[in-house]
Amino acid sequence: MKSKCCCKLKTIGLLELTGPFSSLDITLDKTFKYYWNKKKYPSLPFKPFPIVNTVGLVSKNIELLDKYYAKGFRLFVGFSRSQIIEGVLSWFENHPDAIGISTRSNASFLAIKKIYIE
Amino acid sequence: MYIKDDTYSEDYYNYFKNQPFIKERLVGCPVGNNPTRKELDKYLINSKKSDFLLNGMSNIQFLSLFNEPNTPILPYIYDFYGAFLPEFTKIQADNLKGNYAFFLPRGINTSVLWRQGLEDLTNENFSDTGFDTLQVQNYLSKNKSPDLLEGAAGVLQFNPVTKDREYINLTRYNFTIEKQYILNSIIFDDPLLGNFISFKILPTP
Repeated sequence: MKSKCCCKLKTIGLLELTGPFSSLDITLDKTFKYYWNKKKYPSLPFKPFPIVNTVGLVSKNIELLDKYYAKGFRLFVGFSRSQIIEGVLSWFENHPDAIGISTRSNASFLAIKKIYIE
Repeated sequence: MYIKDDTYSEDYYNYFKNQPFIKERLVGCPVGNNPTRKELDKYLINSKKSDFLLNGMSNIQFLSLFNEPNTPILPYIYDFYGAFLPEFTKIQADNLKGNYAFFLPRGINTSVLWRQGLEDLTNENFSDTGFDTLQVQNYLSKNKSPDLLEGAAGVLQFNPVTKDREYINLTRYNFTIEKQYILNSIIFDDPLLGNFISFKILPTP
């Protein structure tokens, strides 16, 4: 997941908002919205980005990655579970200008090369 | 205790197996996808109260082993698996009381902003990785190096090769005999202090 862009990257959240393991990403969605609240935190630099529901399926993640990549998005936030990140790794290998941020997955078998920007 | 042929669960087991201070005494207990009490019990025949059981399965799978009344186990259970304090049924709580500790990634090195989020949103609605995720997203979206990130949840220093985080930061909650979670200690690894455990002193009754 290496960046080759030099401009600002458009971001989208691919979160698991329904399904048996959705509790992790539902809290993530609420926490993002909490810190995006400019009335409460006017000085925080975070800018809201769109969030779509993956329903916890690898196939849906891939479908959404394709769809939003075509619309110019290059930074994808989500993939909280190792099973999901494992399923989307090959997509990122085939799209080297896209970056994925996994919010939690820390399985050591996924100790893949991380981004490094000079 | 881990699920055989489950990549994530086996990875969890392998992590502990590779720790120098654990590996010599660690006994692997592989079980099927729908673990049964019979599978667990065959490993517990000679177990003692001073032993420990490390859970390497999801809460749903692990807690299903305690659905029968009056089926506690002798070893003390350490559970690092998951992001939330598990909620028990009445029967599970009776079986696990005084014999269970859960470790949450919510430690001492967190920022005021992070703490405020936890306080406002409460445990049920707060994601402990949410704030750091926004920091990473903000840096990457502007093509800034994540190596320069300020850490909200502990010391954010990365391994130069793997880019994994170097230092852990956890809080330990004990499930007491009164069937309540009580904060027991904060555990963190620090580049200057090394491994550090801070215990909470409870008032004497």
